[in-house]
Amino acid sequence: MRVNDLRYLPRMMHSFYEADYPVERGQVWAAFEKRVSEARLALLSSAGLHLHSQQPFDLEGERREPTWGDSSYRMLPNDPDTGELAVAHLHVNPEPLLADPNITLPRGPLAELIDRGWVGGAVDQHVSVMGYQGWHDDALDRWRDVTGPAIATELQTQGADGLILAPA
Amino acid sequence: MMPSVAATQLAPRMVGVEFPFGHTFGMPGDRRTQLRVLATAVTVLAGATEFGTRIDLDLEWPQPRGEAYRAWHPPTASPMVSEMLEHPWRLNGRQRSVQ
Repeated sequence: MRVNDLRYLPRMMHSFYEADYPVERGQVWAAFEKRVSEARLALLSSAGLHLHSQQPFDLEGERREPTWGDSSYRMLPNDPDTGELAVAHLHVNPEPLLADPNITLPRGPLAELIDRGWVGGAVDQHVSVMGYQGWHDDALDRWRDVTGPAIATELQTQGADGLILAPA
Repeated sequence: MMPSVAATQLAPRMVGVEFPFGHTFGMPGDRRTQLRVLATAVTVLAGATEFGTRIDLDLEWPQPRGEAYRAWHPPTASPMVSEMLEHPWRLNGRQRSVQ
């Protein structure tokens, strides 16, 4: 079975992904050295989750300039009982995300894999970004120069051995 | 969600699921599917031996396509979708600027 990328995409977006989608060159690879049962894992969701106590992602900026998206990130606790979640994302329905955040940030299932001994542990703080980045002139630069390195540093500081990204 | 697109952006390891946007690990409350998707991702993370490894999960979404399609959409159209409905040329502008 081959997943159809376009199954749930609005038809007017199909042509963008079917033709001339920009392709990066090269390879990104790091071998996973540890046994999973001894590894500490981190999660990253692009669903725009944040704690009520945190500044939401900047949706007003996007409303003013629709080609722009907030490239900042938020750290979310591994313990789901620490802090109530909110969603700041104009491109997905927040209702199911708030009904069960595990559909995009599977902290509960990860805890279950840890309990079973399949995974060694989880970081204390996972990562949340808001996936719509538009195509403003500096969008890629902000990610390559600021957000990406900052997230990598956050996770290395916590001793993460691997990261599972969940695009929303 | 869109593993072929992820591949164009050099994702080193991928798990494909044919699920509506926002529902990467399954339906709310469906812990069994959430666990299966995550366990597969962990297996690919640790077990893949080469760049671009991709595993697609053969899981059927439990809602009819139309219902699922409507359910993932935000209550109001995003600013960009509103723009594109009014000015479809802006999408072409994106392709030029990224390349």
